[in-house]
Amino acid sequence: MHTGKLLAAQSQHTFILKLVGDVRLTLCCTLDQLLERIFADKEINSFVIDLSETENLDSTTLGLLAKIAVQAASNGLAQPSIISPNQDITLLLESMGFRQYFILLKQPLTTSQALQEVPQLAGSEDHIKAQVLAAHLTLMSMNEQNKAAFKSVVQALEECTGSDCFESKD
Amino acid sequence: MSKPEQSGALGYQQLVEENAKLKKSLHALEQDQLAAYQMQHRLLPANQAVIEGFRLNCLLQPALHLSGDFLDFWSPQSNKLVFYIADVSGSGSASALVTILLRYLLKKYTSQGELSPAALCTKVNNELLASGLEKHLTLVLGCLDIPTRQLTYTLAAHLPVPLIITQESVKELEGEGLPVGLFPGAAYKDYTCTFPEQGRLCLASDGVLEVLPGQGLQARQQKWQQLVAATGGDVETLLQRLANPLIGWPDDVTLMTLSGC
Repeated sequence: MHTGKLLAAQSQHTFILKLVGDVRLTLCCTLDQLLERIFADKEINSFVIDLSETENLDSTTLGLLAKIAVQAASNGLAQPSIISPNQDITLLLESMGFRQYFILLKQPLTTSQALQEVPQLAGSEDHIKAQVLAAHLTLMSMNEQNKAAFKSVVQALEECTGSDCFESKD
Repeated sequence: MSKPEQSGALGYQQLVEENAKLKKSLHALEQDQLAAYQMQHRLLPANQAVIEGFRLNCLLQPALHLSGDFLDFWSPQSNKLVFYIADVSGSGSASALVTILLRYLLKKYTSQGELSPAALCTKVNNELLASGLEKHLTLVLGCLDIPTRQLTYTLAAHLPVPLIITQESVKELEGEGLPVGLFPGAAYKDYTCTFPEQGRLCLASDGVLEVLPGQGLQARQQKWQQLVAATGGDVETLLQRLANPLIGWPDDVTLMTLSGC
């Protein structure tokens, strides 16, 4: 198993979170600030979570992913997509009921035809479909060559000031 | 003595002092953890207990002192037996605090007369989300009607899936459900079955899957089922067979069985 990493990237209207390795969130400060920032950014209207290089997810990480779906729903955005080619990870996500809250796919959508086959989107508005497809195409463009587009989330956290990160919730 | 050596010697003295201070505070932290562990332990049922003609056997093997796993079994009213096993996300002290909150909530709601496992899950789900603790849990919650042996239960994303052991077979309890404390408005469902005569219900936390051999969740669940079949679900034998000195206990391991006596 490889030590886990959380990588994040933003491209136009899409926020991409990529989880790599054995992801165990034992960070002392939660990722709340990051999520708050993302949801405060009105430019972002779709989410893709890439689990293609994920070996394992701990319960806290699953909680974080669920929060993204819950927040997206309450903001009236389309369901976030999860790309999970690993059957075992998919099984874990399904056991947690994620199929109700996410578009679970083995690989990113590349055509609008493939989009029609996603049951969650079949009855959706056209603009939602367009957003989801655009988000998937963005993910596809993030390959080995432009890995630099991704930034470690831990690094993003370190960039926020110490008091921001460790502020206690009274 | 040259200057660098002098500062080196000073540094050494400082290190000794620092080390002594660290040892002292580590000891204080350990004592604190131990006190909390003893408290959590006192809130658990005995390793063997009989209520309303049903026997509980359980064992907890925490990864740290404090556990994010919890279980209980009690009779909120005559002829009824409520039991559960829960696994709170994360581990250690913060998760242990949530196990105590869960115990309190379930005791409160059942004493108010609510015995539907699905309704209880809904209440706990709302309470956890409202609390803003950012913790969720997986749960198997059941209520047995003693005279009819009817078991009503709900499953909240708990792994491994509960097993019913009879003389003929080992079968998974049917059903599915969302974790508790993660999704607002999550709906839970009550499932029913008859608790088999001479049967034994075997529950465990997902820590067992981490110590079992095999690649992947499915393979490990299969191994778990085989192990339960081979041991008849005896918790002590199960824990012995799960112990692996090479890996220790990476996650809390909790085992629990319920059988008629």
